This record gives sequence, C-alpha cells and structure tokens, in this order.
Amino acid sequence: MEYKNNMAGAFCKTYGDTIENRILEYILENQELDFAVSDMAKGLGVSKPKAYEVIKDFETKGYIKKSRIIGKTQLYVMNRDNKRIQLFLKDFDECLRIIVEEYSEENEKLAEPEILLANVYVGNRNITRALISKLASGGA
Amino acid sequence: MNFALKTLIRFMIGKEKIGGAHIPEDKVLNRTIKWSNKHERREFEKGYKAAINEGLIMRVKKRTGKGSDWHISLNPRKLKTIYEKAR
Repeated sequence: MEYKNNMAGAFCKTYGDTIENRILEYILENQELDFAVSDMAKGLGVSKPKAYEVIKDFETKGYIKKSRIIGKTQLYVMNRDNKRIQLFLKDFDECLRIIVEEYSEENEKLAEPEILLANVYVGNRNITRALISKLASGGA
Repeated sequence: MNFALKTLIRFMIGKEKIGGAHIPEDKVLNRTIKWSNKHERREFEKGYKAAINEGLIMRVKKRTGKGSDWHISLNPRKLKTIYEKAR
C-alpha cells in the first residue's frame, strides 16, 4: 500500500508527519501483530535503508523486539513492557477517540430533523401565529 | 474481537476511512494477515464476515480503470460501537 501525503494517520496529524512518527504509528496500529520492515517501508513510502535505521534505533530504545523469523524475514513486534510505548499507546488511543467523537457529532447533527420553511396559506391569522409559535418552541 | 480485526479497525479509524472514504479490501487484508497462521486467518475471516453482516464495515464494489475492486469503509452510524469493540 503506497503512502500518500493525504494518508497521514491521526497520530502523524497530531504530532507531525516525520518518518519516525510514521513508523511509530505503524507500530502502534499493529500492537499485537508482528511485522516485517520491508512491508512497513513499502506501506509507508519510506526507503528500506531509512526504515532499517529507524527500526534499529527503536530496538535499542526498547520500543520493539524481535519476534520470529519466517524464511529469511525477521519479524518484529511492539514491546508492551516499555513505559514510553505505554505512553504512546495512550496518546494513539486518544487520537482515535477524538476522530470517533468528531464523526459521531457530525452524524448526530445530520440526524436532527430540519424545519423547512414553507408558505402557509391560512385564512385565519390566529391559526398561522399559533402554528409559528409552536414550531419555534420545538413542538412540531 | 480478533487481534487482526482490531488492527484493521484501528488502521481504518486512524486513516479516517469512514463513510464515503474507502480503501481497497485486498490491500488492507494482505497487510493485516500476511504473517498470521492458518488458524488465526480462519478466525479473522469469521470475525470479518460477522462485522460486514452486522453492518460495522461497509463493502462496496468500485469501478476502477482495470475493472472493478471491492472497497471497504467503516459505517459512520455505528462508529462508537466499532471503536468500543476494537479497544
């Protein structure tokens, strides 16, 4: 999956769209699953050497650890015991929660019934006034 | 909920693939279950089908230049339910 500028995730939009943040976001998305560096680089649109460099840095920091080898591919998985990763996880979850809330609010607004203004031809003025006041008070 | 399915939902919420915004199904599925074993894949497929039947994930066929592809997006009306399940 090619990474485009408009594909920046919630985490990158909040904390800045840098290569390190993109990789960190990828790791936070795949919390329980293991991943290969080459797949990650392809998905994020980052060069392989840079991806390996950042992954090596993250491994020394303790954000990720080696999980298993399939064929010649080394897979990595997020290290949940790391305190900084726990902090990042909270932030990531908060970013997702904000998106969900924004969309839910938009949806609720759309679900509200609209009051359409129409020309009412009523012979009796009192009935028209009563109808307008009823609409204004939300009793329609 | 299955780990892979949670990952898929997290990815889709993060990238805001909600409602009208959609993403090719095969690309997302390959990304999530590439390294999982047979048992995990079966479990994921079961959960994925259930999510589509419940209406949490919307699946539509989209015409592309090379033919047609299945595209998926999250149902905006059930977003809170999806988020709670994926946590």
